[in-house]
Amino acid sequence: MLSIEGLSKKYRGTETYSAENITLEVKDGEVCGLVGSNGAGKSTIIKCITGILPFSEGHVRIGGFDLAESPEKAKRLVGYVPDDHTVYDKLTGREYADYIGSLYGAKKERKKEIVERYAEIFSLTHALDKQIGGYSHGMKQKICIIGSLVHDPSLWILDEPMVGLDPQTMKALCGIIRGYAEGERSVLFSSHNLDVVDKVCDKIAFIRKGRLVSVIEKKDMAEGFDIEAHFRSVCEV
Amino acid sequence: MLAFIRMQMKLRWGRESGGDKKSLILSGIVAAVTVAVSLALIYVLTSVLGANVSSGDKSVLVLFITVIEIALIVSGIGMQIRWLYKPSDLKITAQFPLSPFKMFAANLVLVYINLQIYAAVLMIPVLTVASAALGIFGWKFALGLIVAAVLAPMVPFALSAVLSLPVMYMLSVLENRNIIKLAIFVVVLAGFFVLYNFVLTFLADYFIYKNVTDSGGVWEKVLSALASPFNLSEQIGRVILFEGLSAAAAAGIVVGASVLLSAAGVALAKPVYERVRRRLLESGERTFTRRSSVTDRGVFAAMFGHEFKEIVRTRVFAYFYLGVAVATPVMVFFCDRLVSDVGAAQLGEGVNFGASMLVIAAFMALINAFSAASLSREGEKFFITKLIPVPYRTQLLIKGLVNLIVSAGALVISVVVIVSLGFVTAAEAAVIAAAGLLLSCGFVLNGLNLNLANPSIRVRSDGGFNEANVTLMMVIGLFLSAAVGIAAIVLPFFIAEWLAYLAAAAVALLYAGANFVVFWFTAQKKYAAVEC
Repeated sequence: MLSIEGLSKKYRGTETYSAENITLEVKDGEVCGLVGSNGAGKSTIIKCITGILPFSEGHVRIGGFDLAESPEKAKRLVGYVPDDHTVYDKLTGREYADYIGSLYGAKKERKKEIVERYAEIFSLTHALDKQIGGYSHGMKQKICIIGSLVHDPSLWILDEPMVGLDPQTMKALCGIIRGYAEGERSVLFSSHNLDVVDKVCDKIAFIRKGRLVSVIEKKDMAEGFDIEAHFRSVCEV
Repeated sequence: MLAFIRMQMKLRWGRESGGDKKSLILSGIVAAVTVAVSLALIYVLTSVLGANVSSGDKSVLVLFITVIEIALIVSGIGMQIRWLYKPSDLKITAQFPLSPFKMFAANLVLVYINLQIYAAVLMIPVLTVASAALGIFGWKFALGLIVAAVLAPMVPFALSAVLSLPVMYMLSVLENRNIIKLAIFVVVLAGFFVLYNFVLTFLADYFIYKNVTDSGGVWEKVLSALASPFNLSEQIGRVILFEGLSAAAAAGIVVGASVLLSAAGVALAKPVYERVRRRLLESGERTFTRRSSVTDRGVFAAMFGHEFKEIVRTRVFAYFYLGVAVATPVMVFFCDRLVSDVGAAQLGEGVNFGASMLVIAAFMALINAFSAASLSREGEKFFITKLIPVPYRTQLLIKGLVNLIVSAGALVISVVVIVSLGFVTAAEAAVIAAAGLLLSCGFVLNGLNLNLANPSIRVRSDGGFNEANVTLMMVIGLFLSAAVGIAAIVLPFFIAEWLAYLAAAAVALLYAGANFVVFWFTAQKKYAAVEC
């Protein structure tokens, strides 16, 4: 579903790479976690994959479509939850989800079904007709998640999705992520929470100073593998 | 409390409060030009009034002081509402070790300091120029002016403390009724334009027709009314003219009135302040609830509808974009009438086409200048435009189309107004409409190209943005409108009228065409390269 080859990114006006020579694959039905310290480059990689940031080197293919050559076809397959949960706060929750769904070509009945289902799971039904500007941080996060799923994306990308969520919602989200991948769709998310990554992911990619330093598949992890120790050894100086 | 006041002053007027350098420089130039033109107008107006009014020089000064006092009252009301009752940093300042009363007092001090600065900035240049026109400037006047500038904000401060409460109540009633607020704004804007037209007509009567006796009578009545001792501006006028004991008594009256009104204002405002502060801390900003439904719209309809919602629901966009567009036909009528009367008297009836072209093109330039912030006003939500599977060029064209439809609506109504009132013939109206539409297309595309060349994705909390491109686009648009309009006025004297029409339309077509070509071939790539 997602194929990244040699992705490199330098921000304008800087000499150093924020992401350097990243090569990673996420198969259909796979959940891949991106972990690394603050400033390691996780968000930069995610923003390059989603088309938010231009990148100078490498290729990104989503569902077989090259992001540079067929950007609209590639983006149509992606649902994205940003780390800062920025949304159009002048719209109501329902208007926002409807708008995003329309941009991705989702049909009315399907949009309605998804919005109502996830609003129920996240206990957001009562707030759907309220302006997002009045939502709490957690509520904005939830409406972002709903907006990212409203068009049934084949690749679901989340940047630090657990931050600011209460334990109940975090558990619900973990369940949604696993359930989503079981439908032969792929999930890529970044996180600092190694427990969540360990429980939910089939594959974990470790990032340090913009470079991919280690990739471990769950099925290859030995019994008693200490993910935290591995993180410390590859990601921390 | 002093540290809080110092911090707030730094945040409001320090380096951190400004926009980027280019935007500040451009805004500074525009402000300087506006001030120079305003002072020139004041000089001319004062000379005219001073020459025709028998009740004495002071009454003319009192007129200006009254206008400044009213401006200070309005500013004071706005500041009190924004800083006391709707502070954007309440969640931070509520943690400070300051009691609500001290916070209230500190914010009032800040309002007063701000009003004092405004008073000095307004009064000193305006009254200096006015006194020079009246031939009464001297060291005594200068000294009196400084004292008066110190006294000037006292009564407005006190009055605004009293008046801000009912105004705030009215605003909260209108909070999410955006269409009503927009309608009120349009009416007020049109009203200002009627007043502006009245002043310009008066000046034209004086300079062109030398017929000012009737107008002088009206002015004399107005100035006599302003000379009433109950008008505190009259007391400030006495201070400026340093009329000995009379000046001291006048200063005493101003200070006394201020103290009484301030005491009343503070007594009324303090309990309201504490209640509003508690409500804001507990429940934050007021937002609306609106039953909405999931729809079956295509990409185009969805984006188009979204752009409109964002404009109407964001105060800055609604007032200074939609509001100006809706008020344009009124403003075009008054401008056209004035220019046509003056121009026709000097140059003949044939000037009407060119004059109408100039006025309409200028308003199209002003309305469409906002296209130069199409990317920038997305602010922190800009990333969504990079994320969605819609080509960048399409997204920009949709934004441009929204701009164009709004300005085209204003254009059509304006043209219908001027042709039905006989300022232009039907053929001329058709040319003005076509050229106006093409110019609008050009302005929109030029604005989009400018923003793509220099995007600054930064938005303030009130939805406004510091965007040098909008200012630059206004300058470009007004310059081009003036060039097209003046050419349309002058050319019929040298070539056949139909050729002049063709020339106006050709320039508009060339301008639109050139900008379209640049946009079509560069927009996609430039947008993709924008980092946010």
